[in-house]
Amino acid sequence: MKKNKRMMVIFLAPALIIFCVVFIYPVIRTVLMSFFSVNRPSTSISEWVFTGLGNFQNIFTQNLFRRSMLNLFLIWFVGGIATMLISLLFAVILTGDIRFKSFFRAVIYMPNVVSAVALAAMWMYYIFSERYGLLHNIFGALGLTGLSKIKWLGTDMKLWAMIIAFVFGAVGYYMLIWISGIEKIPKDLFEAATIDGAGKIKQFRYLTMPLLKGTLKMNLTFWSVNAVSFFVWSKMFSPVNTENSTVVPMIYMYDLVFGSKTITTTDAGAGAAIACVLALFVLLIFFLINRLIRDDVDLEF
Amino acid sequence: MAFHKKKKEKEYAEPFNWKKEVRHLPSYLILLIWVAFTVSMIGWILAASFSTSGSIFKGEVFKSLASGLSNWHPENYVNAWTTQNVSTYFMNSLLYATVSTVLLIVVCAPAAYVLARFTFLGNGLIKTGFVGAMSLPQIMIILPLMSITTALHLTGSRVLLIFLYVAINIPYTTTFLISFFATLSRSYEEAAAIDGCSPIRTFWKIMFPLAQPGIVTVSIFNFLAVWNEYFMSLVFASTDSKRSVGVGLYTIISAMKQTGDYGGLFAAVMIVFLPTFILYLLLSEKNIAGVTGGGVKG
Amino acid sequence: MNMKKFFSVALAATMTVGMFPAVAFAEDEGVTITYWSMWTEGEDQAIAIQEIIDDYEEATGVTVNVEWKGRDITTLIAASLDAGETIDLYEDDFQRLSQTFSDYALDLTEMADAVDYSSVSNAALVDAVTGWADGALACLPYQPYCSGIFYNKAIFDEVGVEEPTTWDEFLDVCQAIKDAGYTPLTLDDAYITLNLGYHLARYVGQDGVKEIVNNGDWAENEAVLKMAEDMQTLVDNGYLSEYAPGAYPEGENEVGYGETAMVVNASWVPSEIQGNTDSELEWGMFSYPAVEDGVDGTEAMMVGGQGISVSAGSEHAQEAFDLALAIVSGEGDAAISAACDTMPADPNNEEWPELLSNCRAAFEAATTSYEWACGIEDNADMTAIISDYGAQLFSGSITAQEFVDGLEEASN
Repeated sequence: MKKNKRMMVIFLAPALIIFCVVFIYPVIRTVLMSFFSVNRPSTSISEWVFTGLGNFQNIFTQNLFRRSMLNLFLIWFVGGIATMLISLLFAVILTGDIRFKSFFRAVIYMPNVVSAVALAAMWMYYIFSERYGLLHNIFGALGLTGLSKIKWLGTDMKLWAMIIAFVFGAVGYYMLIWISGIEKIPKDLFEAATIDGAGKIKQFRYLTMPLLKGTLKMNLTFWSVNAVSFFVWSKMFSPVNTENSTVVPMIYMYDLVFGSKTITTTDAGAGAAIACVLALFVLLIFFLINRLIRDDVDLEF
Repeated sequence: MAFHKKKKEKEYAEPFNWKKEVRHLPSYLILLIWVAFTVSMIGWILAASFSTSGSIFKGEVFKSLASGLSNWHPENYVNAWTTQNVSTYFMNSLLYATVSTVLLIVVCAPAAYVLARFTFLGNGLIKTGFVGAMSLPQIMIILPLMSITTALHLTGSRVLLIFLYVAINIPYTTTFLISFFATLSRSYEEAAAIDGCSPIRTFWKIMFPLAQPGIVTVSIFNFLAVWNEYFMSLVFASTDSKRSVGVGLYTIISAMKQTGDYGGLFAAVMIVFLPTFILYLLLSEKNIAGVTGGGVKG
Repeated sequence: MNMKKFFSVALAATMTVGMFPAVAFAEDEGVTITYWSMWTEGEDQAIAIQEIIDDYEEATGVTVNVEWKGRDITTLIAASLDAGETIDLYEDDFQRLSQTFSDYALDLTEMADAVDYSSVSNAALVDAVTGWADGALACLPYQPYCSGIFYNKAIFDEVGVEEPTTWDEFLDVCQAIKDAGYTPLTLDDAYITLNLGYHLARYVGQDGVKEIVNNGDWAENEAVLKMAEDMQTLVDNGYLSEYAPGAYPEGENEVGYGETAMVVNASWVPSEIQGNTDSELEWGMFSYPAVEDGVDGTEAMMVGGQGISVSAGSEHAQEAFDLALAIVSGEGDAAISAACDTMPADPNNEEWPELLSNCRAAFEAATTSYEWACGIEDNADMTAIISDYGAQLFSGSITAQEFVDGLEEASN
């Protein structure tokens, strides 16, 4: 197809220009800062001291940072699989022949609209509470005393409790994205397939999945971005101090850059290094996703 | 060759066919279990908004409400509403969210179209750049911007805030829409070209409507994100008259948390949640109603 | 629908709104000072401070432009000041103001001396400020808190025990309470380091604690093992709640429910527990007990508070200082104390909130002040690990020796 240069420029320019104006300076500044010893993000450049990879080496020797990366990986991997599978399942069901579709979609998406602060409080006080929580009560009623005594918010289980809570709220969001991806597929394809005798599962495998590749890539990318910016939930589950069980890189970065209760020195350079590590992580995933999942671009149907 | 959007077929109520419904039983079951949990959770928050911290921590929220009307505390809502200038916040947030969402589509849809369907030098770089920018912690973007705007005495401006809302969401919106434009068939553009349609008109009249599910979905997400947004609003427009719901809500929440008034906290959350959810329902009606199946009969 | 038309209308609307000129609050007469507060509107402190501000404005004719930034002021203050934002007064935790942000603060020593500030301020807190800020008075501290073991007076009276001053006496008290059918002591996961830090600081003093955490002397210094064994005694004898360490705030709530008698915490806790549990208890507090052959005894207490700083670049420093003084001393201080159930900063304010009235004796008997958690959080990299091992120790899943060994390993 003929490329219309004029159109391309007109279409692309506003987004690119605004993007560059707003992002270029902060991004470059952050990346540079990671190679210097800098007190605060707002410290003027003349006071920066070059340290090369010093910041990066420093953070990787810190126990708390290493633990935060481990937690992040668990959130991303385990949480990711759970969220993607459940949201896809719901999306497929809710684009089929079920009744009350809008009702189900709305209810499943609802938690995503409620403030994370309230949701976290609800999970902690209503569901996970060791003495009064829903799980405690349900397991107790079923006679499973071992299970009813689980300290969901104790140091061992807190991370998993947090992941469960987070996944539950996130499913609705990704489900909507899957749905809009599925609804893009023309209905006559499904009709043709049914006429040809293909059952629901076959249709999903050979018709829906291949056409959802683009949506899959996008969901994985967004999931990775959301995983690395995991912050509010950690703060809610560990409101007073930063704890090993819930620490994530963003929390650690905030502590470094702004100080915490007992960290009275700030290190914006190390904070910037963490920011860069996170961005590299997402970019790496993005790169791998694009390599491993080939988009079928030009589908003629 | 004439184009026509496939008209939405009027759905007539199919007679209730037991055999057909039973096939779906497992699906209904899964959905119902999930829904039951969700309703119970949101229901708890709603109930907690009418009770006191005492019942909340003792796990007696439902019990205390069920045991008598005297245990209901609707004053939580009155407190939450009157502590702050909530109606002003709603108006501000409505303005910020609506304008930002519209502008984001205007700016990002064409860009996504070009990035999705044309190969040119720098295409991959731009896409990667967007993803990279999205994954940097937002605080690292906001603080340098704040330094600039403060030095230029620009803070406290609604226009600035809206501009920043749009800018911050450009990477996300564009990335989102790229995948919707990518898989559209080329035969549309070819047919349009044969018909003598200019590329720009082709986009707005044909390709743009075809990506509608994606456009509506991302608009819903953008709207809700800006509506609830807290930190940028705190930094760039926190004087009372310009404050948004996000800041207002967070202010109430942290005040309630400090005073230990969890009932009030949940009331404030419900006050913000309900309009948000209603907005979602309104916006998603358009989505479910206006899905096109395809524009070309093969 | 013509979408393009809609978009252009939206754009036009935006421009119109934006054309309203940014209102300049420049007063052509009188002075205006800007005050960034760490409180949020609606909080008790904010309401009390607003009244002080109103009185101040009336009395002096100075206009005060107050912005209720909330706790996020910590993330914003440095960048805003660096960018040249006009801020005359700002607030935060007093240690942060004296250490982390001290380079932004004006040294208030001169202005303070001129009004005989030392007679209306808490000596321990002011010494802490000047100590951290290399001799400068970087902020005026206010809303102090003290700490120790808070208890439900009713249970103590019923069981017939007195406030213990040594660790052995404390164990006896626990036993008596346990025999009477109550749980002696409770603990939250958020305050594990507080308990460990206090106990260790009794053995080796705060500096000793800092040395241990920074040098990794967990196995080398036998005080650590002694501290861990003491904690294990609590667990083994059943003096610690079966739910310990609880998920904050479930642990401390046990006191509010009348189940447990004591909790190691700070003076915000009575008000907090009352709010969480809808209870009305009579509260007492005694300083953390002394241990055998320990360096510090009950005269050492962890204290802290908030502070107000005047920014170094302020053009109306004197007016700003005057307002700050009005908040941290005299009637203003008394009002805040009464409204928020917190301690007054001005020693001349005789009236303590009823909730805290029994804490006064211990507080005034304290002569040495500790920082938060008595120094055990001095090594940022070890804090979370200490807390984890502490949690296991308090829940009974590891022994004192394993605690020491684990920390020794982790610090290498």
